[in-house]
Amino acid sequence: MWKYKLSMVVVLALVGATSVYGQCKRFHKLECQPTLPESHVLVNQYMLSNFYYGDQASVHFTVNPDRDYMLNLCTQETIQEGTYFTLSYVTGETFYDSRKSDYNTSVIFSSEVPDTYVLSVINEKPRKGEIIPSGCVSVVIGMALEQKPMASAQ
Amino acid sequence: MAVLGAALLLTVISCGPANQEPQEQPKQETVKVQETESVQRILFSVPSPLESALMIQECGIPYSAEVLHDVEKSRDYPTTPDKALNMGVYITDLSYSNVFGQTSNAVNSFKAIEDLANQLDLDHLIDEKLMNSFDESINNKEALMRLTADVYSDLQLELSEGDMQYVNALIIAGAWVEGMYITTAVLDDILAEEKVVARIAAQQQTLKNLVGLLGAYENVPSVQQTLSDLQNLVELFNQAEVIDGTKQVEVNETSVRVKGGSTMKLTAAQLKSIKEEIQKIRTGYVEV
Repeated sequence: MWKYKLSMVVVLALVGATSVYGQCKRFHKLECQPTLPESHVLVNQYMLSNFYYGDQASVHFTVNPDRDYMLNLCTQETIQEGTYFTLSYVTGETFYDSRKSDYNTSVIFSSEVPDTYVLSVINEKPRKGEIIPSGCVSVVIGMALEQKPMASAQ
Repeated sequence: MAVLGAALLLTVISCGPANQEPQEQPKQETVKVQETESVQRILFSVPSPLESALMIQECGIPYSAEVLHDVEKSRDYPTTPDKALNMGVYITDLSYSNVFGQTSNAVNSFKAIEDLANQLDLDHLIDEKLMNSFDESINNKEALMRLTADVYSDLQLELSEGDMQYVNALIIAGAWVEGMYITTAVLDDILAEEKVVARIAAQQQTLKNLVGLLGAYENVPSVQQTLSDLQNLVELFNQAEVIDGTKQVEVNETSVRVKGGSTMKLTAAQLKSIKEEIQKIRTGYVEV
């Protein structure tokens, strides 16, 4: 009997996980992708995850030089409060923190040299108690089709 | 327990074209969890085939139809990993031809992708509606680039869960290797411009991201081989000389720009070794 119960728990866990991720995929398609303007195209550099208060996720993304990339943080309302993002070098030094821009959710990012950067999404709310709010968090990265006119030597 | 499973769920990825509209809005929810520790996740991403193709164009490397993979071979691959790697190869070929406005070659690559999508049971992603959109956009370079980017993103999203995730990683590997193959195939090792060599050398970090991404599936035998090939390439890229440069960040309300920064340099011999290794890896992918 305990084996049956254990199997049921595993099945429920998998179904639950799939269902939550499925919801996040739909959220990404319906709510997040449309935030990208016509001037930008999707690139294969995204993050999509189910977040709880206190969670953090980072994505290492690489950019072509002198091209505008739009970075859009897209969150479900339940996890919106206290969610912000930072930009860092791969060495760890942070050079942008959206909290300093009133929890801005979108920036145009560009780099003079081809390089890899780290976008981190953080929820700063304390993770305590039995009921912990959660929701889908997605980062949409779009690339401008037009290159910036001041292309550098790189 | 179900939500505990959900809490541990993690994924990278993207979204796709409007040919498959989801039917329902996601629920917003507050859930009860058993764990108290917060989760920290680190993901690695790799530039899209479109970005690789634009890099080739920005480097001033001329278009060459000779470097494209033979579209007739799309039906010859017996295993899922072979199909996945070559789907990535064809997607980069498609992006490359798109960016250079070579539409007839783009159409051929698109057909090879459609063929492999059918074989991988992903035919619902490249349906008649999408094929029609492709036909209608054939003379509109920007629309074609957008469509290609959407198809690739849709593939990534589709394969971002379940037991096909390693297929996703292999498609990304095939696409990146093809981009590097095209870049280096028509390049003269000796006469290559410094700025072009710097762009190639800068792929070191992307390669590391790709290895990190594949590393998540290192227990899958077909991924092990791909990973091993790429690790050899990492060794060659590690020989690049890093020329330190000062970085300066300009931040305003809506934009962030990083000015300056380190660049990388390869000798002609190092470039030649990288070129040969990439050709070897690519041959391993495309030959049946």
